[in-house]
Amino acid sequence: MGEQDPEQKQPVVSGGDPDPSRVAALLELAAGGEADAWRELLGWYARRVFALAHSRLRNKDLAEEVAQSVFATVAIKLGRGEYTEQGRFEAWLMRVAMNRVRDEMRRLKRQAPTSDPASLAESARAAEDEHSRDEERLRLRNLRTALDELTESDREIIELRHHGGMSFKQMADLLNEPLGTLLARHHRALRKLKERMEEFQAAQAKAGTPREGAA
Amino acid sequence: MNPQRGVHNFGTALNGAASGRDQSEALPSELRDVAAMLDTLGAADRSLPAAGFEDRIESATGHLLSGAAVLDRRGGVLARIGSSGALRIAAAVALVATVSAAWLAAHRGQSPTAPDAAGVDRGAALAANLVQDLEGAGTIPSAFDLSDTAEFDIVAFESAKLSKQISGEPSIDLSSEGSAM
Repeated sequence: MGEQDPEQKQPVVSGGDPDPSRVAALLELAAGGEADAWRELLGWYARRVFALAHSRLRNKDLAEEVAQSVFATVAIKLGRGEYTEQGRFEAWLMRVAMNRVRDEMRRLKRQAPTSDPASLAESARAAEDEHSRDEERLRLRNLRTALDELTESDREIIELRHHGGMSFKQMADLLNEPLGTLLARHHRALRKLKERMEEFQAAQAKAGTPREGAA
Repeated sequence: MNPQRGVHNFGTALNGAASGRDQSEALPSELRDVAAMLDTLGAADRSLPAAGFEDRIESATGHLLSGAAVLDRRGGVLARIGSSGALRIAAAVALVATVSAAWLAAHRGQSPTAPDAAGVDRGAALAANLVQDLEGAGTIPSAFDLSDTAEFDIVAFESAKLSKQISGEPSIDLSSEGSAM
């Protein structure tokens, strides 16, 4: 496996989602075993699935395993001709991903829980260390803590939108909810996060020492 | 594997994910900051995987696309049962499931000595599916490179699912994955 071009690691600020007709063509080619088409699909979606998993699992290796198993499922379905694209591939993909993340969460709960917060936050911090200044890093940590306090349904919307990179229309397909309802729920979730962040900041300012997620 | 080959630049695709969303949400100004921070957090998570992430997924999943892989899987079930601890367990579960189906059929008002044939067939079919599913899992490298404990988890999970299917209860939410949207 060769070394990746550094340019490929950096986010590019333009681009947009793949055109639906392009996705359909790629899916058809991939279903026929065309490696380049599969590779392009992975390029569009693999990191989004990873981010969705990582936001919840907070473990890089587990998130990568989840991503692999999600795309294994997709590949098997495509290879067997069991998926028919009707413009909803992304919604289907994210549903598979969400189910797989939930399975993994359940599995982790059954096993000895990783109650060590340092372990849970380790990979999250690694990402933040690379991308943030100290102050921003603290805010991002607070944000992750606030995310943990959201209800499951609020958190789902936030993560699908901001980690999975889904449009509200795609989310409406996925969650089977009217667009307006989703927008309202998104606003409400953002408001809760904002309030919680402000509480953290106030507590940290009062304590004089920045503490992660201090309330 | 050469990450440069192929027609696609992963970096471009990655960012399309974040930037190409609809703009149907007009956020109140007081919420824009937190939304921007969430975007930053999402971007950080998307850029977290080390170099070669897509290559690893491609290596682990690409072969599953081909029909040949599917045929190979189906043809190799018996051989794999002989060589895999997980599949030996699965075969045992399948046998128990078949007997359970017969028992359930008998308990639904039929003679215990002559269980409903359809019930037995259903149990056998479900058991065969279980073996196939687990055999399929065994062909997926890396993501399903499981420890003994995890193998038992899968068998336990599949057994629970099978039991629900036999008893007519709705299946676990994973079943929705199979339907094309």
